[in-house]
Amino acid sequence: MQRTLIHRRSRSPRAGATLIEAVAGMGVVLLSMVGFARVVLFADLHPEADHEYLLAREAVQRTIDDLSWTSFREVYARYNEDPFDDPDGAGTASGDRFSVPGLAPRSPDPETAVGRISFPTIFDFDCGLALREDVLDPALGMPRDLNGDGQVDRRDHSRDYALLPVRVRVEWRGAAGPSVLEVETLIGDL
Amino acid sequence: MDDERPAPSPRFPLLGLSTLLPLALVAVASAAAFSLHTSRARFDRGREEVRDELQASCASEAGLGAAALDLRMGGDGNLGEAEEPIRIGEGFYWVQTTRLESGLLSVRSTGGAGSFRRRTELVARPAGTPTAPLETISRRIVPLAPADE
Repeated sequence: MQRTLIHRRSRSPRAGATLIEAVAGMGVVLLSMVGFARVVLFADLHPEADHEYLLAREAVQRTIDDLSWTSFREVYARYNEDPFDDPDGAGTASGDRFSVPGLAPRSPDPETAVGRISFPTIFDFDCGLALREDVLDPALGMPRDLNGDGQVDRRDHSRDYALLPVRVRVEWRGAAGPSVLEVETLIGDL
Repeated sequence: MDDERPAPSPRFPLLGLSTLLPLALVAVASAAAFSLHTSRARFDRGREEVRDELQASCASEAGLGAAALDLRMGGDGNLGEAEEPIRIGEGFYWVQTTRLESGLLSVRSTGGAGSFRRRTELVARPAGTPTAPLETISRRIVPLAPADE
């Protein structure tokens, strides 16, 4: 009986060590497999994600070109989110959203667009959408004087702007996950 | 007494294998992680370059627009400096305007983002009206190397 006890005591630590080794070994194997899978997956998605980014870049560039070629006085009205101020009648202009063939919206909501054009605006329940100089948006260079009167005020400048800050943003659900391309510029009366 | 000692362990040959295998796998996992990291970094850098190139172009155009407004307000059309540019989005710009002997204006707007620089040069005639301060005569885009700043 005593001999048996001694044998058990002497074998017990070995058995534990083997179990720990086995668990650690399995963990390492799992880690390696995950690492490999990610490398293979990323290598596989890399060209597709690059292609998507180039599509987004072309879409942003094309949109900015469209804005630049539009009559300066009509840029804001044609590309803002308010369909009622469109120069050729309500809902006739392009508006603030655009799709990009080849890029899927982030949200399945059909109202969600891949591309969006935005200006320094504030929505007011009394006046509606207003192009304002006092919008706080440092990336757009705001607040700033937009009509050249030397002041930054709280009026709507949709009819007398001389400089138009614009942000064009494309966001999509891509091969490498949610992706965004966004640029800002100022459109002048040139 | 001999019976109480553990039998010679058959694990010794296996011990080497059970140690080397995890080590090898750790090495492989590390290599995979490093490869993923460098690949991801290259991918992100590629995206940044595409965005910077586009933002530099937009910043350059922004400079022209801002200079036009400045001229309209009676300014000299010089905005920012190479050492202290004006920020727009992830980029920046500065504008140098000179009056040519012919009376025309030369407006040079340099935009940048990351390592990209782009200059848009405009030759314009002052239109003399507050609503349209410049009448563009020629316009050209000059891609710049960072050293050309």
